[in-house]
Parts: sequence; C-alpha cells; structure tokens
Amino acid sequence: MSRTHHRVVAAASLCTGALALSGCAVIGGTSSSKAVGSDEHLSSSYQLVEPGTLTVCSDIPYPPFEFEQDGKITGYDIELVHAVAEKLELDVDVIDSSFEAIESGASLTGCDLNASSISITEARQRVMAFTSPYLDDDLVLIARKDRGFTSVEGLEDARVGVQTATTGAEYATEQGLNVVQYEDGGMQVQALKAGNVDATLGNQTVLLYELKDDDRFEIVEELPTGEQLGMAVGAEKAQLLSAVDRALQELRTEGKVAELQDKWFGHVQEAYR
Amino acid sequence: MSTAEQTPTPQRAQEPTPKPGAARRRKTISLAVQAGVFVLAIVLLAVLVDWTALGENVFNFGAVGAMFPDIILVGLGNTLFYTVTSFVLGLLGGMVLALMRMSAFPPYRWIATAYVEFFRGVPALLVFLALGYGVPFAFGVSWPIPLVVCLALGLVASAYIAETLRAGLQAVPKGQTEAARSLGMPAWRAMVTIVIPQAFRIVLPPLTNEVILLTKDSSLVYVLGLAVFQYDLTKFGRDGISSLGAGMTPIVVAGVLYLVITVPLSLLARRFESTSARKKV
Repeated sequence: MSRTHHRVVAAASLCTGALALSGCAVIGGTSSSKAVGSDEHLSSSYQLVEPGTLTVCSDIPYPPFEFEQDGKITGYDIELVHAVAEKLELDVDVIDSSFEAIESGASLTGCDLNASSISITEARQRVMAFTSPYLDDDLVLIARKDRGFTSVEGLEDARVGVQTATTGAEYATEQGLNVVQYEDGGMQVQALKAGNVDATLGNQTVLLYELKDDDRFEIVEELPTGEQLGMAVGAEKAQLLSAVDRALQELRTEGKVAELQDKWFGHVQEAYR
Repeated sequence: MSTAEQTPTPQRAQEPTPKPGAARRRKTISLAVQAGVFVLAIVLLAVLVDWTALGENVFNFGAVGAMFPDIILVGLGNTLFYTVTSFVLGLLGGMVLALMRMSAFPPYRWIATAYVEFFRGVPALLVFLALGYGVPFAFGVSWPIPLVVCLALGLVASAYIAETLRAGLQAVPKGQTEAARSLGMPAWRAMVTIVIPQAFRIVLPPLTNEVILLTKDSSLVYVLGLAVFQYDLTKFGRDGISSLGAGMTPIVVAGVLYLVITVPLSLLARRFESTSARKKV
C-alpha cells in the first residue's frame, strides 16, 4: 500500500523554518548567479541545494522502495534516483526525512528531490511538481499456482485475504468475495503462505515484493486503480523538473525502469515494458 | 460539624486521650479534605475536557446505528462463543495439570510445572500466532478459526486454572481424604467425589476471574484474520472507526458490550463468594 494520506499544506509554508538553508529556492533562488560555463550553467539552473549533488529526501525505511541493506541505503526509488543522477552527472545524497514533511512539500526546502514512494495526488500537486510516474500502484490478485485461478470471477468459493481499510479490502468486498481481513500486510502475506487463505488481494507495491521469490504463487490478475507514484521537486524549479523528467523518460525507453521493477518486484508493469 | 463540639459520652471520657473531641474532629477534617479534592477533580475535569470534541469523537452514539444489530448478533455472539469454548478446554486442561502437579510420580510434576511456567509466561498473542500460522506451516493443515481460538486461549487458560485448582485442592482439609479412605474408598474415588467438589467451591470466585480474562483475551483473535461472520466485538469496534466517521465511538460501544458480559459475571462471582463464606460458618 502506498502512502496516500492526503495533506494540503499552503504553498506559502514551503519555506518556513528553512530560511537558513541556502537552497531555499523561493527566497534565495533568484539571487543565484548565472554562471557562463556549460557544466556550471546547467547545475546552477537546477537551483540545487548543494551544487553538483542531487539531494534527495526519502522516508526510510519503506522496503522495497527505500531501506537499508548491508549498511547501504537502497531500494527501487533509490536505485532509480542514482540512475537519474548519473544522467544529470550529479552525485547523490539521500536524506532520511519524515513522510509528513515529504508529502507536505516542507522537505523540499532542504532537498532537491522527493523520492519516497509518493502517490501523485491533486493535493500534493498543489505544493510540489511531480515528474511523470515511474510505477503504477495497481491492485494485484495473487494465488497459489496449483489453484488454477484465472480471474477475480473464479473466486466465489475461495477465501481471499485483504488488509483492513485499504483499497484492496474495499474492492474485494464490492465484488462479493469471501473476504478474510488482516490488520497488516505482513500477516496478509503470511496467511497466504501458510495456506490460511486461497488468494490475496492488495497493492502491488506491498505484495509483489514480499512474494517475488516464492514461485508457488502467481499473479492471477492486475486491477488498475489509476494510482501512480512519482518523484517531486519544488514547484518553482522548472529546469530541474524537466531534466529529471527527461532522464526518467530515457531510463524508461532504455529499459532501466523495467529492469529495476523486475529486480525489486519480480514483475514488470505493462506500461513500463 | 456541630456534633464534634458536643460533650463526649461518659464511656469515651474514661479513655486516656487528653482531648476527647480531637480524634473525631481530625476525622471530620480528613473527610472534608477528601470531599474537597473529589469536587475539585470533577470541576477540573468538567472545565478541561473539550466536551464538543469528546461528543463528536468518543460519545457520538447517533452515528453508530449501523453497527446494530450485527455487533450484538455476530460480535457479542462470537466473543461469547470464543470465551465459553476456551474456558471449557481450559478447565479440563487445568484439572489434569493440577492433578499432575500434585502427582506422586515426579515426571508428571515436572511436565505440569514446565507447561504452567511456559504458558503463563508467554503472551497469549504469541500462542495465537503459533497456532494460526505456525501449525499450517509445520503440518500443512489450517484449522478453522474457532478451533484455533479455542485451543490458543484454552492452552493459556489451563495454565492459570491449573494453579488456581491446585490451591483449591490443597485447601481441602486432609481429614476429608482420610475419612473417605477409612470408609474404604479407593484414592481416586475419594479425590473425585470428596475432594474435587469441595475444591471447586473454594475456587469458584477466582475461576470467574479467569472467565473475565478470557472474555477480554478473545479480542486477540484479530491476528488470525477474520471473515465477516467470525468478527468479535473488538473487530467490530475497530472496523467502525474507519467506516462510520464517529471517531472512537465504535470502540466505546464494543467496550460497553464487553461490560455486558463481564459485570454480570463479577456479580455472580461475588454471590459465590458470599455463599461459600456462609457455608463455612
């Protein structure tokens, strides 16, 4: 389940409490000198917090998007950010921030980029500028291979695990499925593995990562929700936004996004193939 | 206050206290202080609490109509069912364990002691997880939820009940067994017909406590994952929080329904207590 708590924060509060930070674009942005050298010119037009470095805010840990593994911060978001930074010829500095700060846009006073499995919502678009999406947070129905399910329609007699108070639970109830509710995603996955339920339904971002290395299970059906994840920059940093967006598009056509999806979720989404 | 000023009775005057009215006056002052603190606490509570917010989020009973009648028919019913089945299992298991703990054959005592120590020391939640998820992993069978609840709570309850029953069995005077044996009863019969019935009368109040604890522990069933018809009171309450928009009110409703089970049980326990006390006289 991606983090979908909506919080509207007035754009005016973007820079509150960050006056001391040199990179606060609303206040200090226009005063940044326009260097003439080609590389320097690029870098300064991005209005980076730290010249030459892409400073990224992320709420860690949130596997498989951003978390620590063997002493290193990694994950789908983080690896993608590194690939983007490589295209822009920038170093990467990841800062552990709170999701509250990230989704309200407050973090963008100290960071150039928010990359933290953020669902693109209208409320958030008011306080930050999103790149094009890099992952669709669709619902997915997963079942044991040997059960031979082919779609949601064939599940009348099956017990279907869902997580309480999620879009997956709502959908399954609407479909009149035989729903078994779990309090968290971990239990939901364990119940499928233990055979307490015949199938499980929920957001891809949680289920696929947990089940990707278990070949007893298969994806029965993907159910689009229209929810997509994007990275975000400060609303006034148009140059940076278009540069990151261009890099993401390139990575997508090169197949790098697909490669990372396969690595972290064991599955490449149709739109990114 | 005026009574404190009155002259003491002759009886009191003979006591060695120098100021006969002082003790009574001190008592009155103490009472006045207690009453003052009580009133102050109530006034503070009335002033400090945000009654509007509380009314909207905690006592918004107008908005929870949708919970009925399901929370009673399904929720209360399931909670009662989970409690009763696990108590029956706990009582049987506890009886066996109590006898094992008093056995002359040492390994029985060891096993019973180990069992009691283990299940008394482990959170019931872990027992639920072990039976709900561990057993399917180990044996490839997943038991129906009511069976898992009955076993999990029953296993834990039998550890507590065993200790209670042992205390009860040991509280029956030795003379009872001796008298029975001298009449020619075999040891097992003396135990079953003479000692155990008397022990039960002694432990009825603490056993009622155990039922109350089980009633509340049955809320742990949520970790197992529940289908709609298996929801207990707590699950109804928690679901209501996210679906009814009445804040915490659904949980308050669930809490009240727990009291509907436990308060009569407490009253029953008190009656048992007074009856068994009378019988001893």
